[in-house]
Amino acid sequence: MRNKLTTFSILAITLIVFLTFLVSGCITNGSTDDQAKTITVTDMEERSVTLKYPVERFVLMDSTCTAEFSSVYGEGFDSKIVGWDNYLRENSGDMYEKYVEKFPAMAEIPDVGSLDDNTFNAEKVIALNPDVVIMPNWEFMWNGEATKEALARMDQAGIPVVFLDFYMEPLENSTKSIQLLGKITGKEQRAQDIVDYYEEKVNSVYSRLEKIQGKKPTVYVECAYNGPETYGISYGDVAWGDIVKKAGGDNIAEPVLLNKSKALSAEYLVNQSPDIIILTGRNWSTPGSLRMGYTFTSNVTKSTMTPFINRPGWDTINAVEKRKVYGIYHGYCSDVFNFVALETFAKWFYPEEFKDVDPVDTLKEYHRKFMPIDYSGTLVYSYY
Amino acid sequence: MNVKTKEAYKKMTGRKYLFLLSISVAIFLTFILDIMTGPASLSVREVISTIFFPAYSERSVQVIVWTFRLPVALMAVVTGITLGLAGANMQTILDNPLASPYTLGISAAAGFGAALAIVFGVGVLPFADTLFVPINAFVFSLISCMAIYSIARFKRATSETIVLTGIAVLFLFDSLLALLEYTANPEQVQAIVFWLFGSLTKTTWTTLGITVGIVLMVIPLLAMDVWKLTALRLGDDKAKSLGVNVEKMRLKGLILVSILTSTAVAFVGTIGFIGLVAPHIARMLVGEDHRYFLPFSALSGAFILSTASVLSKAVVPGIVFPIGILTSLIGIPFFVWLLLSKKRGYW
Repeated sequence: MRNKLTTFSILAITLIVFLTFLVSGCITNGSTDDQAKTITVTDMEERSVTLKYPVERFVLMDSTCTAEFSSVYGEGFDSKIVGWDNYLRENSGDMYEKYVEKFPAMAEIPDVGSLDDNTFNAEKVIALNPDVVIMPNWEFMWNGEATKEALARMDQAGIPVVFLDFYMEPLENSTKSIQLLGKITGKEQRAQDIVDYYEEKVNSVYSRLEKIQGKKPTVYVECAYNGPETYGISYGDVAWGDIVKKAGGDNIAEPVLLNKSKALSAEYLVNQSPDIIILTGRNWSTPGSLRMGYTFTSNVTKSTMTPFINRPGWDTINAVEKRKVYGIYHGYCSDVFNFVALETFAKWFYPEEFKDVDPVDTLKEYHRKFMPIDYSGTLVYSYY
Repeated sequence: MNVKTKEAYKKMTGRKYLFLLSISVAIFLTFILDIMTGPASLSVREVISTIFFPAYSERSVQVIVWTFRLPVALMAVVTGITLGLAGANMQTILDNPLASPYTLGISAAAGFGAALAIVFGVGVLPFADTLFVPINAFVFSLISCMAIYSIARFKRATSETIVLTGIAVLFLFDSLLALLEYTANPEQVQAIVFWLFGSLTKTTWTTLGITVGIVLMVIPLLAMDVWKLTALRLGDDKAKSLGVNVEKMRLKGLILVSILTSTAVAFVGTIGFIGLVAPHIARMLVGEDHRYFLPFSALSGAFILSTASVLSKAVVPGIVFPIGILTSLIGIPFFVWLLLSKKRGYW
């Protein structure tokens, strides 16, 4: 009898404690909603999202968008990032180094895991108490399930997620994404300055291209992340392929790849004998890959590019015979710098018409105007 | 009576020679087809004249025929031979129809070695960048074989010990590989996956030469043992009573198989299925006599891989289609048909 009573009272106490938590939870939730000013935006996935305004605490998923975030936010951006994934450190280690060199505290930003290897840690994100989680919309293409799950968890925790796009439709959506960032950070003027700069450059390229008549040069783009022995992926009418097309090039991969990204065969390449070859480089660790980025000198880029040019049969390709082999920083395909890629390609394709354009100057100017880190290293490169 | 037996034997042998002859002709045909096809759509005349009189052809046609098509077409045949031989030998020494050159975790070890080179840029030997990946793959597959060899030696080389140790090695390297893929970035994972699929397109005359050299070195060593290997198929006890040193045969076979497989894997990646199925095809058509079984197994391997090489170019012209995917797709229907058409069990 005594025992039963004890059990009962323990149960009762547990229930009371539990109810108390539940009620107090509801109350605190309700009160924060009243205090803060909010803003409702439509993100690049056409989702309507309501956020605290201005947003103070950001979690950057795909931390490579630090470049865009810091240019829009300007001074003080580093203290606003409360968490991120390891993309920037892993994939753009050179850019990461530049940021950390200038803003040492950024090295301490907590890693919340990433979607591509299913390490995204929702609990950690919640513990960081962010006002928003920023994600690129290509996550739906590459890591669909993980993204949907992360989204559901964030919904449950009441943390809004905003999707940006600098990749799926780079030249259409980059400016919209910048404006969206401006809206939620309350830095709309800076965002507009960037968009104006971007559009001025892009429109100038387009208006020059319109006047050009005649045959388009044939172009081959390869992501040079494998060594020279293995052909890396080339691009159909997506990503780099899209930029080639818009810059007035005739992409030799498009007829066979359509809108996919796959490696072309060496024989096809030699047989097509394109007028221009563009290899994309980064600080990949793969032996023999093309090294480009903020921390690489042009000598390193040259010496890692030479074995690619010495690939069997390349001496018969037009591009090599006419000395038109180039390198570009691979990251520029998926961020706001795609306007520089467009300008660079146009200059490579039509050197006469773009004689007065210097993409390196554009890069330097953009860094001076909008980026917290300085321009350095090798981001666009001409082998000859 | 004696005359009749002799005649029956002659007839049987004649049939086996006929099989060997027809598969050789078939390989020759697929080989020709292999060098005739490709995204460049060269005419037959152009290809032939470039093969015999390269100096008269355009430079780009020379490159296409001599640098891209010939080494790849030859490598398909040679790798097929390598894997067919390795598989046949493996099934015999392990007395197991499920054995293949990859049974002992050789592919997993090689894959791990290659991935290590891809992810960390770490080479076991301080060579030029371009040899990192194949050398790492080769060294790691040899390491795994040597580990199995020493355990087998220590525990008297029974087939069970070898198979079980092999499975342990397989899982060890599989999880190490998974661990590496986990830490790698997406581009590297893609490179690893592509390597694991297997591809002939990386072939150069050098890698072809090395592979041919190793196959030519191993063939006489195997040829010496054809009778002993045939005896081994009767079971360990019977082979022993016929005077065969079973343990020695097994260890020797293990070494030969590892050398063959490691070479193939290092240069073309893991092309599965051939090493498992070529010996079965051979066994069904020419039986257990290793004088015919070994060469036929080698030739079936060559035929499957050469056919796969032709087809891989036809899937999407202009794109590198991983050949490893095709070998099983084209081999399986044939294999199942053989399996169903056999009335008795043949193992």
